[in-house]
Amino acid sequence: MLIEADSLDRGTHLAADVCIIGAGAAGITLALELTAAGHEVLLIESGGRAEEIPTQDLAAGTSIGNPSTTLDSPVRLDQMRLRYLGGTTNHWAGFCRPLSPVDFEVRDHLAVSGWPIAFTDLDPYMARAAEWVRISGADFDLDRWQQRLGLQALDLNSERVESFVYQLTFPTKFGEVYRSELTSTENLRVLLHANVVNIATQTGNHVSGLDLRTLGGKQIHAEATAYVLATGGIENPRLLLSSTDHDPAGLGNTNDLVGRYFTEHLQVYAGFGVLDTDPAGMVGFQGADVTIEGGRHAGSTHHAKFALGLTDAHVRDEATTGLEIQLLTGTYPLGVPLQQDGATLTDVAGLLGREGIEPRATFYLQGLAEQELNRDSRVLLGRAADALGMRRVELDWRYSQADRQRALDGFRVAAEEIGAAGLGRVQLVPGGVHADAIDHLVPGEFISLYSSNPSAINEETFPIGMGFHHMCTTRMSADASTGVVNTDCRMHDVDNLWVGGSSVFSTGGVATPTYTLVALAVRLAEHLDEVLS
Amino acid sequence: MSEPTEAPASGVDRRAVLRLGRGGAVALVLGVGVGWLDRRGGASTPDPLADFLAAEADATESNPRPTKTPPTTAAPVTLPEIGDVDPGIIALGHRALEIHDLGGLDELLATFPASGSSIADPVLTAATLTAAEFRNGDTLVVDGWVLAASEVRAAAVLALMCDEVSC
Repeated sequence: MLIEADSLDRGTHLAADVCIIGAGAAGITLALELTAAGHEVLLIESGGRAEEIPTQDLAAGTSIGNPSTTLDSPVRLDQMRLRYLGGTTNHWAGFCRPLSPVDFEVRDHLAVSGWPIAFTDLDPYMARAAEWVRISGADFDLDRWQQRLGLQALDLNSERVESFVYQLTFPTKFGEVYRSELTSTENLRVLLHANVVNIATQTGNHVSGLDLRTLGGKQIHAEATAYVLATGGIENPRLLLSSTDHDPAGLGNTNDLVGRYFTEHLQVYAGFGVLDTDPAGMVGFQGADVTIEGGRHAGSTHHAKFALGLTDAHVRDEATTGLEIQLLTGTYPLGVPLQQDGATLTDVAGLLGREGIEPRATFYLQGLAEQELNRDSRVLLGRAADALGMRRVELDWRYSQADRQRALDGFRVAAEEIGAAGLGRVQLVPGGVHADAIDHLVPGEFISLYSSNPSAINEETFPIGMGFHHMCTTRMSADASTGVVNTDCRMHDVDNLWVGGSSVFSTGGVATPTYTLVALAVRLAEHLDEVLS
Repeated sequence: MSEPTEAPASGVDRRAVLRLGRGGAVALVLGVGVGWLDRRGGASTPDPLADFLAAEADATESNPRPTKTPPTTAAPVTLPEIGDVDPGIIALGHRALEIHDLGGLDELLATFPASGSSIADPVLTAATLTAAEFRNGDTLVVDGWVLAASEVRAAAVLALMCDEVSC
C-alpha cells in the first residue's frame, strides 16, 4: 500500500524485514521481488506520485568539476535525478543492453578496472531483468534480431567495430507501470514523502535504524533486519557521507572511498558521414517496433534498433576504452564547408566518384564513450544545506584529456571501418552541431554557427555531455581497499546494509546502465532472500 | 604535353580511364599511371601492387596484412587531359596539400603503383587499395574527413597537375 508519511503520527516507529531507501528501478524491482518471496518490505520514497518542486530541490547541488551538461546546455543536479515514485525512470530514454565481457575484465592500461564478478555471473538474472524493464528477453544475438526486425545491421566484417542491437522500452516508468502492484501487494508498504536523513548506527558496522523526516516536519524511525540503499549514484554516497553517528567521515567510509570514482558516459557528437551505398542500409539504425511474446508484459510493444560499437577485442588489444556509436540519418548541406574554405561533402562525394548525394544518404554520428575511473572524480558534501538540514552535494566530475582522446580515436576507427567496408566516408567534427539543428540549417547558418563557436571543433576542447548515468560511487570490489560493497552488494564495513543501483558498478562500460542495475537488483533480492531465510 | 591516342597494352583506354573520375580519384590516378607507362613503351617494372593485393587476399592471422602501401618505382608524369576531373577533387587536393606535408608531385606519384599490367580494373583496384588502407589505419584527415591515404594523395596529385594545366 502507499502511505503518506505526513499522515503518520510524529515519532512513529516502523518495522519490516527489509527497508529499501529509494523507489526507482532498483528499489521497486527489489521490493517486488522480495515481497513475492514472502518478506515484509518497507519502501521509502522521498517524493510522491508526481514531480514536486520542493522535493526536487532536495537534490540540488553544485558541480565543481567538469560541467554537468548536455551537449547543448548546462543541467542542474536536481534536473538529472527525479525524486518521486519511479525515480529517474520517469525521464529514462529506455535504452537497454547488457554490459560487455571486457567491462568485467582487469585492463592493465587503466588505473582501476574490472569487476570482482564475471560477466556470466549476471546471466541468471538477465531474463528477469528484461521482464522488469519490459523488453523481449535477454537475447541480444544480432542475427536473430536482424531476422526478427526484418532489418539489416551494417555488415562491417571488422575485427575492430561491430553492430549490436539495442532494445528500447517505451520507456518503462517504474512508478507508473508497477503502481498497482506497489499499491496492492499485502506485505509491501511504500512510504511517500519520507526522506532518510540519517542511517543510524552505534558501532559503525551495523545499522540500527533509519531516521526519516518529511518536509512537513514529521520525524519517523524505521527498523529492519536488512537495509538497502537505492537512491542513485549521487544520493547513495550523499546519504552514507551524511550518516556520521559513529564516524565523521560517514558510514562505511573507513577507506575514504564512498563517493569516489564517480563515473559517467561521455556523450559526444562526433561528426557526419555520407553513405556510399544504398540509403536503405540506414534503416536498421532507425529500428522497428516489436511485440513482447511472453511473460508479465506479453502483448505490449517496445522498440529495437542497431548501433555500432568497438569490439571487445579491439578495446582489449589496443588498450583503450569502450565506445558505442549511433548512426542517425539527417540532412546535410552538400556544398558547405564545415570550416571556412574547407572541404565539403560535395568534394568528398567527388572523391568517392559519386556525382550526387541524396541528403537522405547522409548520417551523423553520436556516441557514448567509457570514462576511465578516477579516484578524484567524486561526490562530496558541500557547506550548503537543504530544507531538511542535510548538506547538499558537490559533484566533482573529472574526466581527462586521455578519455577525450580515446573517444576520438574510437570514432576514427569507426570511420575507417565504414570506409573499409565501402559504406561511405565520415567527417569527424567532434562537438558538431546538435542533431536537432541539422534539419533547420541553411548553408549560411552552418558557416556562422562554426565561425561563432570555433572551439566547438577543437579536438582538445570539444564539448562533452553527460549521459546522466551516475556510476561507481560505491563500487563493488573484492576487498575494502578498492571499493565500498562486496560481491553481494553489501557494504564491506557494515553487516546489514546493502546497496542497489549503478553506484555499485565496478566500471561504467558504455552500455546504458538501467538493464544491468535491474539485473543486479534481482540478484540482490535472491541474496537477501537467502540471508533473511 | 602530348596526348596518347592509342589504347595501352593493358587494354585500358586512357580516355576511358579519365572518365573514371566518377569512379574515384584513386582509380583515376591509377588509370593515368597505366597510360603514362604505356606511352613510355610499357616499361617492365616490378609490380608491387600485385604483390600487395595478393598479400591482402592471403592475409591470415599468422600472415598479417601489410601495413603500408608498397613502394613503387613510378616516375614523374604530367597529365594533359585532366579537364574531366571533378572540381571537388581538385579543391580537396589543394586543401590536403595545405594541411599535410605530402611532398611534391614526384613524391606523390611515387606512392602509386607504376605497372599497368595489374590494373585492368582501376576502380576495383582502387577500392581494394583504399579498403586495405582504411583497415590498417593508413588514413589522413582533411577538414575532419577521414580518408584513405591514397585518396588524399590522389586528390593532391590531381590538384598539382591541375596547377600545370587549365582544369
